[in-house]
Amino acid sequence: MIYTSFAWLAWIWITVSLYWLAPRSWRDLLLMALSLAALISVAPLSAALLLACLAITHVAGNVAAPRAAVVALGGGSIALLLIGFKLGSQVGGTMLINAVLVPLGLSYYSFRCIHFLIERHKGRIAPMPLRSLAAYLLFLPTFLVGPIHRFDTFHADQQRQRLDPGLMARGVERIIHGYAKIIILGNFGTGQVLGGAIAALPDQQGAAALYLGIVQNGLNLYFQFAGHSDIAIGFGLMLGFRIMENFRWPYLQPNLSAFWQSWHRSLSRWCRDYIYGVVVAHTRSPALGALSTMVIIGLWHEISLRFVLWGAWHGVGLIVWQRWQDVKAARGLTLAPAARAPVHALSVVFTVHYVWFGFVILTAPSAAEALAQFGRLFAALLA
Amino acid sequence: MMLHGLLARWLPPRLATLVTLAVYALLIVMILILAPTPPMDFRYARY
Repeated sequence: MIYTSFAWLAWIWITVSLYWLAPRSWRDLLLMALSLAALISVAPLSAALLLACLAITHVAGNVAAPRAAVVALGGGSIALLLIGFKLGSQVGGTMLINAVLVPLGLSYYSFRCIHFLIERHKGRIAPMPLRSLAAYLLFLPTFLVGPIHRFDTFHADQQRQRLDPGLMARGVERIIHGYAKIIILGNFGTGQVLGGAIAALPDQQGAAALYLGIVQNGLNLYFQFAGHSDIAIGFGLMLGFRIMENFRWPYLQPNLSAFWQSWHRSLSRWCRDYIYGVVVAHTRSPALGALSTMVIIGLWHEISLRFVLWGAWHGVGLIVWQRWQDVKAARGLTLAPAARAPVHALSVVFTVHYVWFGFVILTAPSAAEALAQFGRLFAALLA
Repeated sequence: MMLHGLLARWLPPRLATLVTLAVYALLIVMILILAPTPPMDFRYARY
C-alpha cells in the first residue's frame, strides 16, 4: 500500500468515517485496530516488531521514576533492533534477516520510542497507561513516512478529541496539496517534463545534462517527501490531531542551518534534542556536535558509506557556517541595507546548490562515481 | 481553508470562495488525469 494509491485514499476515508462515528471512548482502540490491520496486511513482521518496541517502551518507561540505566537499556535495545535490521538488509548472506528490507516504519517508530523514554526519564512526560502509548505508536497517518511527531502534543490532541470542521477542511486541503506535489509537480513536472528536456539534450555527459539531472533529483526528492508529509498531516488533521510540520520551504533558506530547520524538521529536531545537545554539553564543541549529528542523520537513512559521506558533507557545511557566524560577530561585519536583498538571494542560491550537490553522493552508484560527476560538471563549466 | 484565507485578504469573500473552489477542482482533475504518470526512482534509502 503506497500513499498515492486509491486503496490508501479508501483507507483514509473508511478510517476517518469509522473514527468519528464510534463512541468517544472507543475511538483510540478503533484507530489502533485499523492501524494494526493495515500494518499486518502489508508488513506482518513490522507489526510484530512494533508490538515488541511498544512492550519494551512501556516496561522501561512507565515505572514510577525511570532510572537512566533502565531507559538506556530500553532505548539501547530498540536502537540495536534498528541498527541490526538496517545492517541486515544490505549485507548479503544466508541469514533470514537478509530476506527482508528494513521493516516498514521501523526507523520512525523506534525514534518515537526513544523520544518517549528520554522524556519520561527527564520527567517531562507523566507515567502513561499502555493504551495511550499504544495509540501514539500505532497512529496510522504518520506510521509509514513520519513525521516523528512528539508524544506531548499527540496526547493533548487525544484528550481534546472533538470533531472540528475547520481541522477537517484543512486536512482535506493538505491531502490535495500532497497529491498535487507528488503527482503534478513530482512525477509529471519533474520526472516527465524536466526529464524529457534532459533526455533531449544532445550531450548526455555534458555540463547542462549533469546539472539539470542534479536539479531534477533535488526537486523530485522535495516534492515526494513533502507531498507524503502533507498527506500524513492532512490525514491526522481529519482525525483531529495537529501533527508538526515537516517541511517549510527548505529550498528558499539562506544558509544550511536554516535549511535543516525546515527540511525533515521532525528528524532534525529529534537529533538536535537528543544528539547535538548531548555532544555539545559533553565536549563544548558545536563543530563536533554538528558533525556527529549530521552523520547520525545520514546513518538513520541507511547504514552505508554514502550516507556517512552525505552526513559529513552537511556537517562540514554547518561547521563552515558556524565559523562564519563567529567571524562576523568578532569583526562586527554587517551588510549595508542596499546589499541585504541581493546577498540574501545569492545565499539562497548557494545553499540550495550545496544541498543538491550533496544528493549526488546518494544517487551516484559509488563515491568514486560521485566525485567523477563533480569533476565532469566543473570541468565543463570551466572549459 | 488555507487558500481561501489567503485569497480573502485581497478578494471579496464570495469571489475568494469561488476562486478557491475552482483552483481545487482544477487540481483534483489534474491529479486524476496525471495519476498514471510513473514516479522517478524515489527509494534512495532503506527505511
